Amino acid sequence: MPDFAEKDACELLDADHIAVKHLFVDYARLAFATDAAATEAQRTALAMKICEELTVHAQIEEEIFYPALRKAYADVGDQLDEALAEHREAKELITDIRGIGTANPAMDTLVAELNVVIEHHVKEERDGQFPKARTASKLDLIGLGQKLRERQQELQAERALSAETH
Amino acid sequence: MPRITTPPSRRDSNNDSAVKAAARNTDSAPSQAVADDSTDPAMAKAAQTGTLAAGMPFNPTKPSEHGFANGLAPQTGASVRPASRLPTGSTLSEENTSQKVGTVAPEGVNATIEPLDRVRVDSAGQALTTNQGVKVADNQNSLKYGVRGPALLEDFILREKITHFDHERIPERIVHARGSAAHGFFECYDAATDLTKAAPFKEAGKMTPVFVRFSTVAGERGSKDTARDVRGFAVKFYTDEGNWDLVGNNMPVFFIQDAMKFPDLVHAVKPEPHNQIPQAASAHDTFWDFVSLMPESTHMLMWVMSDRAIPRSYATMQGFGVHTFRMVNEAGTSVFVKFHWTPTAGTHSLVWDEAVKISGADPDYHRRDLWERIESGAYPEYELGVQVFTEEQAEKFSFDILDATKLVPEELVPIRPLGRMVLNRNPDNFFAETEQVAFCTAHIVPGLDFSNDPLLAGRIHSYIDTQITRLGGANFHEIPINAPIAPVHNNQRDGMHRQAIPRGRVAYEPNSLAGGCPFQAGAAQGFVSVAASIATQDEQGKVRAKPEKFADHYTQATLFFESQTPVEQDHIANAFRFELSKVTVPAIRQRTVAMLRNASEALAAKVAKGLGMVTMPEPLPKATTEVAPPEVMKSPALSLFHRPGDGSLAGRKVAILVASGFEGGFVLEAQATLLEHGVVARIVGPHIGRVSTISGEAVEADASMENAPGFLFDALILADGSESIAALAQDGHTVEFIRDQFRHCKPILCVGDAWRLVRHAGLPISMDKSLAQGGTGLFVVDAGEGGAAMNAFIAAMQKHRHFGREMDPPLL
Repeated sequence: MPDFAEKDACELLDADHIAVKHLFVDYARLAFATDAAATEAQRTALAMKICEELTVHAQIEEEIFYPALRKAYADVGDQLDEALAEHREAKELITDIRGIGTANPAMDTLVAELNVVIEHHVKEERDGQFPKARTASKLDLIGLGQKLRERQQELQAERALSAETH
Repeated sequence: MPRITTPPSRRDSNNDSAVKAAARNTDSAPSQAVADDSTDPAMAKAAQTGTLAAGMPFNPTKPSEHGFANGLAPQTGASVRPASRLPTGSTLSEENTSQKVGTVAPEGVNATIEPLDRVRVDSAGQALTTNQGVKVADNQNSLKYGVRGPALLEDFILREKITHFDHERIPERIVHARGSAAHGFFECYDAATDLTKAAPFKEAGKMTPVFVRFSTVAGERGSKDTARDVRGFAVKFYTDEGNWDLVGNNMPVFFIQDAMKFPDLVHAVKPEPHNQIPQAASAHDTFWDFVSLMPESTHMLMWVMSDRAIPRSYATMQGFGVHTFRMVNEAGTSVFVKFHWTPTAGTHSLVWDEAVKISGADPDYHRRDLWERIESGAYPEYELGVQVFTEEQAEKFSFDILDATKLVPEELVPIRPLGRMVLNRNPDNFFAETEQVAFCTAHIVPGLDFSNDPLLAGRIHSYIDTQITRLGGANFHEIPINAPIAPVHNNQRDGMHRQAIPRGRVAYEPNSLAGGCPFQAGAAQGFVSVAASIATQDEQGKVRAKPEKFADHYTQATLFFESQTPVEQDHIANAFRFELSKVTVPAIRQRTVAMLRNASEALAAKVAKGLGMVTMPEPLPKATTEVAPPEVMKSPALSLFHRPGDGSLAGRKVAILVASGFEGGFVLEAQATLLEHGVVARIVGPHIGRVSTISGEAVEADASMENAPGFLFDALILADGSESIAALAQDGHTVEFIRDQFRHCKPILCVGDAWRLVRHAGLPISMDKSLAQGGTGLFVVDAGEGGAAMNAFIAAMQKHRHFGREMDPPLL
């Protein structure tokens, strides 16, 4: 695998954005094809992975990134409140998708809705919060990235374990 | 057909010389019919003419011209067979032949419908001549009085050459000026005689020659191929029962509902009249001013703002008949149909940034692609299908099938496949074929008919009308590419540039002097219009108004938008943003966003945000609030992702980027592997010419980064080799080349150290998770592993684009 250096906080979060977008695109490709019925298992797996990835992503943003940003800037409150509202919207969709369980046209619609919500959220973050974070002298993005990564790995491990025991 | 028995002619006494003398005059004649004396041609002609005329003592079909029932089943016209060919000839002197006049017109034949070979010209081994066939001794100098003296007016050779040159151009088409065309065939799958008696659908395997012209709409003849625009998809079927032109588009709906608005629409989208700006673009004030005042255009705007307006190739776009047509079977039963062309290669498009760049580097992109596909045997292929529904079904639909801004969802009426079309021959000459071809919606054949779509009605008039000016007169049907293969016999005569030389003196019908020929074909063979009744005719008279359902301007715009994948929805929003950002009048932007709110609040909000609108305008007031609930809320068939195609990569292009010192073994192997898939893999170097492999072998780079920038290729291979990579790294083109491949979401295979080039081009570190996850279309493999990655690379090419890496604004 190519030699990437360690990512800072923004890069780490953006890596999540790009990776999950790939999953969304793959899902849509399958859901819109003429043989959608034949790809039920693939779509289910993709949907569950999307939900998993986004759940962890939202949690580390909420626990680490947003509070750090809020501390660094007095005026990002509204932006972050909006971001949190978007997280809530996404979480509801994730709950609904998980509730359906197996891919079907209803799940296709929900995954597309989730995609749109996330796309919007990502754009806000990339256009608004990342440039702020990158220029805040008080923010140690490398250190923050480290924290995000550790918490992400921890959450992933926890969730994997809980998935195994269930 | 009524046949009249020829009465025996009366033989008179010994007045032969008198009869002979009389027969030699072209006016006045004896009072009695004369006897046939075959020894004297003039006398025989006079006698046989008399017999022929007498053979039709009255017009037997006259009574059948009256009444509704007769109108539905017209009789075949009367005809009488002449005793010989003498009476129907123009002149007795036709027996005298020469190299120029040839012989006598073969009986019952119009030679102008012979295959195009009759007009093909090949000059191999021939000397240069004037248009009069005079060999030209000197094609370098005009005729002068002395080498330094004045040019002479008598120089007919120079004058002919210059005069012809001065008149080479004809007016370009007002719309669809920019086009490219090809010959091919339509092959019927199975007889569709239950639906139609139209010639192409009569039996399984039946082949009908076609000529197909693809075009943009707004741009002028020399404009770019990759403009954001509707594409014309016009098919001329040369059926054995006459020419049928299916003059369609690559989108199934249109901006307007009535031909009355067509000139307004076209004036609005064309370059603005005061400064003739912009060329081949809808992103300007007058277009958006017009459409935002014409909310019925909202549905079509969705299509035009989607990636369907920037197809990858003419071979990767659908075609549609747009209007509702009719099919009629032998029993006279008619049904409504919507025509669909579905590309075998799937529906694939460009992305906007790519289309813009291509228009600079290769404005002939689609023309070249079509030409090269056919030259290399990767023949574009499409399946023709129809949605079939009855008048009764149509009445129950939530939309009006006469409204060209509405489609019939495939989930409501599925497509029935009828046959396939293959384009397998390029024209010999662009002007003679592609430019002079004249498509007319009026050209239909028995078994087909029109609906009352008011836009179609206007088109039925407009196409023929426009050809008369463009092609210089009423005889454009005789231009070789337009001539049918079915026999042409009528009494239309004269006009500019007439080609046919009709034999005989009869140019009217009914006649007895030509034995009644050509006679009306009657219902059994001829075209009979469907006796569609207008249900409300008693309540309504002449009126300029639209049906009520035409007032629903937004339901199907919503359907289209909601039926796209999120990526496609983003592209639509971005296209609106781009187009409207080019508009100079904020009020027009506001009005358009206000209109979009009625179709999709999400879309409107996104567009408004992209345009920096602080507050959202109120939605436009609707023309009606009484909208029937739609039958279909989501139609995946409207997404480009619905038709990925058969996976064939034929016609695609890959760049293999190298400089001297590259790993030759892999490159040549990759090139060969791709060629097996019909993919043209070009070795692109810093310059054209020889580049050497690590082992010192010379390989020809046939394209350079300067003359073939990255965005012209469907995928990229970056070969290994440290010297090659070092050379490429210091060439500024390399970064652009890779960046565009990445930005346009195309597959990239990067072997060994070539990874450095991708990083050098600015690949963000945040791609790492996606690369580890896979499915990015970006393959980074170790030295020596390139060959093993080819299968994955080819599979990635089959997916066409990898939108997972697409961010707005772009990552790279």
